[in-house]
Amino acid sequence: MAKIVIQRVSYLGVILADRVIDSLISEEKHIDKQLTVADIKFKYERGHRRYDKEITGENKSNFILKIRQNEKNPLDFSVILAYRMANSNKVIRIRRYNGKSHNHTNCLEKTQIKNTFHIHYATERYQVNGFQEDGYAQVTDRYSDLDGALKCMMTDCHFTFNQAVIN
Amino acid sequence: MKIETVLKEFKEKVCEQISIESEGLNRYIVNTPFKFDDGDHLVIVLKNENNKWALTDEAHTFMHLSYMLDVKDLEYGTRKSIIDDTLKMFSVFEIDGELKLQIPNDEFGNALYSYIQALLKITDITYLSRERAKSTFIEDFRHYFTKRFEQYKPEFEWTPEKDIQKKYVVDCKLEVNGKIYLVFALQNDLSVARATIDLLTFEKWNLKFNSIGIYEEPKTIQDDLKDKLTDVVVKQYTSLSEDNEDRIYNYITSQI
Repeated sequence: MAKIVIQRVSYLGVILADRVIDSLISEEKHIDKQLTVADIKFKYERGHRRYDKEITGENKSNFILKIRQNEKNPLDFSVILAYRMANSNKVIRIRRYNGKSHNHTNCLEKTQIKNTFHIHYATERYQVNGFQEDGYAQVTDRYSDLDGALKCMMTDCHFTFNQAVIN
Repeated sequence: MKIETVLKEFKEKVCEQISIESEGLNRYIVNTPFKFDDGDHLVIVLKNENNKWALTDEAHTFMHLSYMLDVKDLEYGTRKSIIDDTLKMFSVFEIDGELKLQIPNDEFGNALYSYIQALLKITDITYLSRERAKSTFIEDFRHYFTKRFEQYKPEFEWTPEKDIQKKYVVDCKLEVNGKIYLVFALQNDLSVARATIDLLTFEKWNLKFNSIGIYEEPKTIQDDLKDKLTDVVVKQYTSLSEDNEDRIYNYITSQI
């Protein structure tokens, strides 16, 4: 299992090193079958629909898949892969696939993304500088709806299924 | 009012870095430099419905908050009070997750100023959840036992009859299916040490009970204190997460 570099920053602060984040992304995550939006039983809450699923990786790391979609604007969505630290209630978002509903600013690089599909990445440098772990994002053209974002996430984050491995 | 005039008012009252883009009929995206603390900008839309202008987030804010916390936690206690007070203070109302401010007397600039302040105050709720401030953990603990175990009439800050001076306090006592459960909310080193002393004393007094400890954040507790508690407490949970809420309930109610 990847060794987690923990640096206590504040009362409940922990930092994941980049190599640990990479290792968590690469860790195989097996679920019964490939998920599509049509398969998911969403819960409805305060103007959006949501889905949460706990997944244990091949190295026994605890992950949470979170999906959110705005009922008023279907292009306003997020597919999140989060990591729950062992023996802790701390949950760290390691990858987030956003829809097209808002601008984003990368606070360290001072670059802006204008209202388009973008992917948030957890990085060590953002944590060290006191920003949210997934404060860094890049524009993407790999998807244009929630289903596409979900498929991209499962590919990037090494999800496997009983039948096939997505390449 | 012309949209160019609206934009001018927005810039004058709020800041120069505001822009407006038309997106749909009578619907304009208001771009501002104000952000959540993950770098995503607030979603603000200027809409005309039934000849009335309003600012709305089209339910994005609560959805965004749900990335970081359980939106159900916003429905009671400190967090709910903050949200309710904020909405009242800035004349914003909520309909099914959508935060809306009707613009009075064409006061577009003032309305945007207030609306942004309201959204920023609400997004600050994440600091309460992420750091699990003392007031919210104990609130969450009490809320959980009050609601989930309502039929079993939980007692908070309970002390046994033998403890005349009320020195050995238990955070929550339950009687379920004829069994007594003593539940401790483990927030910090002190509460862990106190729980250990309580349990050792109750053992000495030959009291019959099952004991449960629920941590706020185990990583913040000294290892030796956790070890000592482990010797005397029957069951421990690392947090009061949604999944653990189900596990705790199932554990207590399934014991015969």
